[in-house]
Amino acid sequence: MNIEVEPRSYLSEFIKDSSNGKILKVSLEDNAKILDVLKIIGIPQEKIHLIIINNMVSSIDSSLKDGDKVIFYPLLMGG
Amino acid sequence: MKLNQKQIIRYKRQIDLPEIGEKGQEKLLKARVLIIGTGGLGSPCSLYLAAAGIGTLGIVDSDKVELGNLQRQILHSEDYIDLPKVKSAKDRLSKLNADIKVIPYNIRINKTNIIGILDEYDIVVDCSDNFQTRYLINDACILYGKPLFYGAINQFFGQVTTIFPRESACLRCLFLESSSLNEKLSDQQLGVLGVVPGMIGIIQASEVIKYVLGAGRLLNEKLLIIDILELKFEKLNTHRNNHCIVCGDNPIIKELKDYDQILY
Repeated sequence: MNIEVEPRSYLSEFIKDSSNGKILKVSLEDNAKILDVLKIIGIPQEKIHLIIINNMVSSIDSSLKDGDKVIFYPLLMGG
Repeated sequence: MKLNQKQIIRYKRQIDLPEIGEKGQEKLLKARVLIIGTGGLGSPCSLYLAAAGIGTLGIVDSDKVELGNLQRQILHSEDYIDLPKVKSAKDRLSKLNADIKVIPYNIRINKTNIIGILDEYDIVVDCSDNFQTRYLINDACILYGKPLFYGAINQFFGQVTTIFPRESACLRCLFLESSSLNEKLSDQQLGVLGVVPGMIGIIQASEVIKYVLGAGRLLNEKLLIIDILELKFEKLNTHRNNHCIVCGDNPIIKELKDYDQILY
């Protein structure tokens, strides 16, 4: 399956080739999970504080399907 | 409580709204709201709640005003540098609206003192700036059944949600508890444009006002994320996690702890 992944805020520092913008196109095995995505794009799990899949706040165990749009946010707790 | 003539004049522009009216204004004047943190979020939030006539505002902060705060913490001013933020806040809010009661707490909240303070209020607004305080507030509001109005910011990004204990998603349902909570961020990563907490703090204030009035749609079951640089506003769906360690069906957290770290 193919999904789109957008690391937001300072997680975009992990995108090495930003020639195609801030959204990454990622190809995965059919039963892949969020952890597999993180391995492929090279962001350590502990940097992730919020996971959004298709406009729904999701968890690290959430399933993925073809065409999903995934957004990651780092810790954001300033006031 | 019947509105007096001065109150009718002061609040006329909002009393004129059918969603508010004199009855709604009376509700606002009766409301007791606790704002934890008088920084970037707490500044606009407390100013608008005071202006709207929230009758009792508790304000909690243990910090003193610093020059570096003034780029975004619009409640404070140069003449209060080195003075407690809650003194600055009380003076400013009381000058803005002498009709309301402002109660300052010049303390850092912990598992012991939060319970007595929470007990005095119907509504809690999290305008704090660190995860230890945020998780303590979250857990206390879940355990003591207080609606919580959460906001957080960094760089050009802001997040805001409304938490109804054991009904809508809490902080622990929304966010992953990872080791990055103890990570030291760089100055660049900690930078913030002053208008970002301004916007989020005002949304927190509007949520509180609507909750008191019972009007409109609230951000429970929603997380609003803003990106000022790209001017994006996204309203995301959320849901309470049945397995949440504090608000789930079989919670592990049954009493408050001080959170040097929050991993379980």
